[in-house]
Amino acid sequence: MDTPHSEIARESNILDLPIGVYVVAPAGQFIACNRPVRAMLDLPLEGDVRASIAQFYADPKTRGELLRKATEAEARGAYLEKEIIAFRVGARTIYVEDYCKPLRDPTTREIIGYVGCLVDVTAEHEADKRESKLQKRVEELTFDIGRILHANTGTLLMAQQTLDGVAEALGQRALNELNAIPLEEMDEQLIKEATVLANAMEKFLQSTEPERRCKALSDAKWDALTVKIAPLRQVRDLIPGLEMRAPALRATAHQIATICQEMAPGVLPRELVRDVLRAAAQLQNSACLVDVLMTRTAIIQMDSTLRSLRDFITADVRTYEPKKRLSVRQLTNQAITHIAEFARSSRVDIVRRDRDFDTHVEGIERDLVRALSNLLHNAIKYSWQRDRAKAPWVTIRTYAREGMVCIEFENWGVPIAQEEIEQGLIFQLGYRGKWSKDRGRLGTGIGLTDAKRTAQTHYGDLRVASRPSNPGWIRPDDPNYYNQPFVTTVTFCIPEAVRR
Amino acid sequence: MKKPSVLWIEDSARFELRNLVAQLFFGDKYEFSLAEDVTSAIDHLRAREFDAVIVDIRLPPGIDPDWHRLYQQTGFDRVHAQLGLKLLRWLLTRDNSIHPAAPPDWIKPHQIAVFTVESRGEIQQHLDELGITVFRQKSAGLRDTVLFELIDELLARAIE
Repeated sequence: MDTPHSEIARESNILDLPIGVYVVAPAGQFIACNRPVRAMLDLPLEGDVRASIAQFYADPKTRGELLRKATEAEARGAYLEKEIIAFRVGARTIYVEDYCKPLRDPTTREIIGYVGCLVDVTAEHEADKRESKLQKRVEELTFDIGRILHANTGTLLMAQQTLDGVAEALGQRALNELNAIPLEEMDEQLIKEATVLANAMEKFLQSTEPERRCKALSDAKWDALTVKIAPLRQVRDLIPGLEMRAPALRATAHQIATICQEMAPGVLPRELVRDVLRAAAQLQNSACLVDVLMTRTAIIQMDSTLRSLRDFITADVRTYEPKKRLSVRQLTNQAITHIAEFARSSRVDIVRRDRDFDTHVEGIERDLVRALSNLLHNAIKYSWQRDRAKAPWVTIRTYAREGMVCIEFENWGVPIAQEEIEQGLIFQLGYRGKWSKDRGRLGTGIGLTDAKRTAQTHYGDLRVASRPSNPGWIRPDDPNYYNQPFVTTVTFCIPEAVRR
Repeated sequence: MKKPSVLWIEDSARFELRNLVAQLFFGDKYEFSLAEDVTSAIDHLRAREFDAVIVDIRLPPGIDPDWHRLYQQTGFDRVHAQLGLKLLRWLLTRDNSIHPAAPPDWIKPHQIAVFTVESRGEIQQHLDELGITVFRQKSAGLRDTVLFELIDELLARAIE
């Protein structure tokens, strides 16, 4: 099957090239092809090839389309390049990258064949296909997670609203007023009411004779009542922390009331029973109120955590938002508005120290507000009470320095260890601060990571510093060093926009 | 009669599991103590003997630097660190590769119950190795009396 083309091919040593090279007739019969092509298509490695390239196309229609593209490319003075073709070789499908051009008769300019190169890209193609499938799956999953988180935040909102109503009913006051009462004051009130109940029970027991008591209630029930008096008086020392005191007192007051209601009527003085029941009801009410308010705080914190998780996860699949010129004051205000409910329920004040300062930055509003909200959320979450007469507070300062706008969040409370800052651990996705667990609930571990990334994509950075509130009081090698309050400052810096 | 003394080593007692503690504090059945991390648990265990010790598996280390280092090695993660298991192993096998100090010597497997979110299957091998037989898994909808029941079971086994 020697033709002038195959002679040319042989003379040009194309058969010795390390990539697949072929020359075919217009209908696809091989005129010449080298060993890599033969190996690729399971053809005899030596001798004539009695086969057509057309027979290998997984989809026969593809060839016509490909030749048309090759002719069009030729008209532009170019080659057909990097066209991926699926070939069926025996039972296998392989993917090849084809580079091809028509061969023309020098006299008539008619196409007398095609010359081209084939590169087997099956492995890369399969990997690309897998990656693209995986990417699609991730996107679907991201949407799905976003939807689930959204549905859950809806449920949390419902729970919060229910608790708002319950708190107002129990406290007989508006929620704003209830949230303004310091927890210490509520704790004192509970302890006082526990003592009132203990006194009422004691008076009841002292004023009634044992014989009459037995007629009203079994011995076991009297024992169950009696053993509660001392713990009610010692509740402050007995149960550490308001978080546990409130539910314990609530359950105990309920048990006392239940036992008292079981008493046989007309046996014991009605007014004494009524005093115990009233005191138990009051304590149960107050303890429920504290419990409801604390659960409400936990729900708001969870809601805030879920929201920031949702925003972070779905950030890449949301509609594109262009950069805009934005007022720093308005961005900070938006972040404060986002976190206001969390701050209120956590009884932490937000103090602004920026004396009406304002300037502008160029940025993506949604990302900047999310980053600032996360930083403010962290500052609130890790704040401790520093003054008995005053609620804990976080301070926000904004200022411009050397072309950068800095938004600084300062809190007093949970430390960040020096090595966590120096080694950049706190910026790792999912990392949770070594000392950050004192409030019993984990954050998402994305706040600082996201804020730093956001600052960097806006050509800025995030700086973190944490130092003891009273430096020198405790040595750094003392095991109690990180049990003292630290002042932590997180500063979000991005370039100031050009002034108009 | 002296009331049985109980130590609950649990970092979620203040929050998720707070409803369980009322019975213990006001029940007058037990002398009840709570430790919220490994360091304070060991302080309690060194200060006195307990008739029953209930241990959570996912515990924070507290301020002891050696427990802290152990925790640090697992990436500051309670789930993976399982310091509760390490604490039990240290207490019962006196393995000083876990902590260099010697553990209190009064504690025995029959005085210990494990109350954790892990399923029994996940930690059965460890429980068998340590000789601990009383176990309860934490799950949603736990009755308020669950801790009571767990302690009673533990004390009954101790008498047997």
